[in-house]
Amino acid sequence: MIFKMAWRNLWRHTRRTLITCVTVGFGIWLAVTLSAVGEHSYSTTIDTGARMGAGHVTVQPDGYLDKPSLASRIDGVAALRDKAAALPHVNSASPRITGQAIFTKAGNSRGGMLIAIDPRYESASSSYFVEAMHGPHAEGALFETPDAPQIVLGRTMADYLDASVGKKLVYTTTDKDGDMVAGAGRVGGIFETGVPEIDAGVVLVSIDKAREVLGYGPDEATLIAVTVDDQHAAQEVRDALAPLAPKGASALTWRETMADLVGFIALDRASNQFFQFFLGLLIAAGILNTILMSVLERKREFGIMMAIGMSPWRLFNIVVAESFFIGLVGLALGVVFTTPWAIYLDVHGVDLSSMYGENSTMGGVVMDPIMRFHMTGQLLAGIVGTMFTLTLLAGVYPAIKAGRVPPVESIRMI
Amino acid sequence: MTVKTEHYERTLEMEGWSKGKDQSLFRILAPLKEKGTSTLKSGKNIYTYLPKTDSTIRLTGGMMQSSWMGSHFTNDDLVRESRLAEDYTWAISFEGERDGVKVMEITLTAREDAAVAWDKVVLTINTTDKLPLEQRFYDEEGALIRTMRFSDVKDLGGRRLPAQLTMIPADKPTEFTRFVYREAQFNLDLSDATFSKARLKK
Amino acid sequence: MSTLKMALRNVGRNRRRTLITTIATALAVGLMIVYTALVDGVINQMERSVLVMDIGQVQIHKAGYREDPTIYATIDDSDAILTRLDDAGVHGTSRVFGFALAAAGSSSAGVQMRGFDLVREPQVTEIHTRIRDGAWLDAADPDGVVIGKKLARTLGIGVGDDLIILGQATDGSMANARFKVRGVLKAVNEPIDRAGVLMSQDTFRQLMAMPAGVHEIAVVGKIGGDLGPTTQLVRDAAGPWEVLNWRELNPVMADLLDNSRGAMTFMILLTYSAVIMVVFNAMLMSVFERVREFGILKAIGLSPLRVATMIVIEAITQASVASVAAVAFGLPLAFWLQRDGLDFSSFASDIDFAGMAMEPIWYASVTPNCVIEPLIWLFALTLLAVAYPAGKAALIKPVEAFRQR
Repeated sequence: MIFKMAWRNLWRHTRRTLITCVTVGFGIWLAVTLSAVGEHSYSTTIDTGARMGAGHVTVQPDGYLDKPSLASRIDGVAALRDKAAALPHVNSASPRITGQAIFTKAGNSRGGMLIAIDPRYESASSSYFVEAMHGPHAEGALFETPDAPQIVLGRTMADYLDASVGKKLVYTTTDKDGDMVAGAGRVGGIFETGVPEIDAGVVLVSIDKAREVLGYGPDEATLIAVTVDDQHAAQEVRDALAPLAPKGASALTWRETMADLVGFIALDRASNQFFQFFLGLLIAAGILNTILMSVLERKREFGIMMAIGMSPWRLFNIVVAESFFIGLVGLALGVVFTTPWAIYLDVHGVDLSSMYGENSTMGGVVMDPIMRFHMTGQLLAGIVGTMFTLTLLAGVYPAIKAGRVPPVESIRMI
Repeated sequence: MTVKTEHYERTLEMEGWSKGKDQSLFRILAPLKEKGTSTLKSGKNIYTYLPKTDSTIRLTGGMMQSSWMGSHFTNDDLVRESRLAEDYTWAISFEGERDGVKVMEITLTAREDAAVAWDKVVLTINTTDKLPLEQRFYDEEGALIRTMRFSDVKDLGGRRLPAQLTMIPADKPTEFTRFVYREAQFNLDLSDATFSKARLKK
Repeated sequence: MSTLKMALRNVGRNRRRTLITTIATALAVGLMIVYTALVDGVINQMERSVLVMDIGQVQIHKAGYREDPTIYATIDDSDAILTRLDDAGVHGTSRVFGFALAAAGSSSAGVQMRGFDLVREPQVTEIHTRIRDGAWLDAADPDGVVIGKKLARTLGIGVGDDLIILGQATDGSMANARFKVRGVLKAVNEPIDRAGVLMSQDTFRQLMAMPAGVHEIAVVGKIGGDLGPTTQLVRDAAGPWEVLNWRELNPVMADLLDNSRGAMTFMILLTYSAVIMVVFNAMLMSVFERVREFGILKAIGLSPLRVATMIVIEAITQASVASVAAVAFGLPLAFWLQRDGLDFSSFASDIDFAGMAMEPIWYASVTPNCVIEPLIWLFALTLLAVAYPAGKAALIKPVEAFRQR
């Protein structure tokens, strides 16, 4: 009965109710858009970070995180890699040797990161650098076998060392015993990512050549980098991988290996939520306005109803029910606005690169300037729930007022 | 050793020991400010002892390209100079007379996987006394990077050897680093302990 | 009776309705004042944090130094330049740099030593406040150095530990000395975090046998103002040396800041769309409900123009009252945020964002703009909102009006 009355009351003032519902719907649309876009942006950033670093999940020697050194390594890499690659959600599992080295060519030298890879287990989805080698700005090609003698490096370092494709480069680093060792190779390819830190600081060599130079065993490596198809599955994969890790090594997720990124995302999420809270307040103000107005107009009506025996409590319920319906319809409208938009975003994306610039890094990771959509049920429920609650709450005060009108007063008001 | 560069000129007096190809020790005797500084090469590592801070530092990859004691020799040169035979293939590129001296020119080309700084080294030897006259270092493009001249052949420790070694960078020909050997002794019985880190400090 | 009088009386008559509408719009606009101040504050903060960390606004170098940083490429009349800068009303400081090896225990790393003028530096940058552990440099402790946070981790050392520096002095000799770590920095920028060993200029000069000359002069005028005049000022004072402002020195960072500003402005516009909804809604309602009333007025002879004018005046009056309320509610809140800030540090301690350190506390920046802008929107939206109903009300036939209720 209450609901019937509430519903009818609302639609007696079609325009007003509609505008209010649209406001709620818009609020939902905005909140959903911002959250989803944010989530997608974070996911993309995490994925890129994983491909620039050591994967979403990494198996590496204990203590390597705090003190990276070429003396630390893990054994039994081949078998572990195969097991990791077979796990659900895993896109790639790549054994790598990584460490700092000095790269020289006839007197010019430059420090940088030496990354030894097995190209059979690397691709665009496992490595940002491999992807760059397939990109439009790349010169030459990535080596194809794990024992290839070629070296691949970034454009900026190549220019500094005056090393073009075919030229010989020497790299010096410290081996597993801490002694100084050197290796050499000819430049097979040059990549250009557009990110200065990468183009000036990353050099790729083949893993078997690195093992030779560093005195590693044929089944040893610094770490195994695992990428997954959905970054939310990282923890799950890590848990599956942890018991398989050899003694002295552990499985870590990107949250531990890329701490700066974690901080940045947390901060951005917090500020996003703050902004949405603001938005919610604004909308609540609007809804309050509407409902309060409608209550006050009907003072006479309520007075009469109470005079003929309706309890204040019922009146309260009616008004709350009205705001409930506003929320419901607003929600429906929100869905109507949001769904096609979401589909468009998912398929096309909105190119914000004019705003963000071609390549920018955040927390050390490159940002994708195209805005896309990524919604989780959890997030959606959160937004909808919040909007709904705000709508209901906005109706409470007016509802209270509705019940308080003394009958005589209201009849007198004409 | 005398070093002349655009910014400074300095002369150091030092003594040095070496055993085989892998072990050598240099100690600075003068000037007073640097007396006691020593450099030890043992196997693949180089250590420097610095008396002022009483510290022994092992040189890392980053330092290999920097100059040794402010000279035109790099730390890498200290490790590297004994490995010519292993890292290069050689061929005689000239045999005959130059400026009235009978010389032989040997061109060394770096092996494909040799981790060396110079792609080509040309050695000119006086075939009469079988002593080196000049060593030229080239990069991959064939540009001359530096030249080392051997001169002042005299009697050192019972052998006839060039007593002056001068390194001249090709891009700054007015600069040089010159080693002048005052005396030398050979076939000493040096224990391995001489070349230990502990002995650096003495 | 004049239209104005009627308008004002109308407003006064329906107190409750007016009040509600006013409160709703005041709330919305007040929140916008706070939000605008916050966003302004964050953007200013971002620029500030880039500048006052290390780079300053304008820098002077010997031409070629930045491309090939050799210790010999110095500015030799820095004292004269600094005096000229003082006279011009800006703050300048000089720095010396050198590359060396740092060793601690069995670890070593390539480092960049930075020698600061301890008196002048705090007037130009705030790096002395970025200490995480320990303390900043002190002239009374010449052997105390401050190191970057990543360097501390690489070498495995902290406050109180020893550090040996080994490098080549200007006279070719081996510069080496033992220092003690006085402090470890928070995130400043990538080069300093990774390889920075900070010391007093005197310590550096002694170590590297460099009695005179500096490599860099950093200048700061008024931050947030126009960069052009300050750059010109420094150019005039610098003489033959190379003068560049921070945007020229770090175009990537300049781009990033501009883009962030763009993104934030976009957010504000988005928020205003919500404000539009609220204000529009409120205004529309307050007019549409009174259709009958307008009909009566017209029936008793009021011209359409007068009715419309009356509505508009009412709306403006309401908006004015709402502005006052908005400012009364929003401004103190904005000031409070300017002083205390919004603390996000439970989410992230100190992080590196695109090569610059980010402080997790947001401070608002209260300027006339943060009040003027929302108020302009308020009045513009109000007028827009009442335009249609005012027109409709003015034209309505009295008979239809009566039929409405």
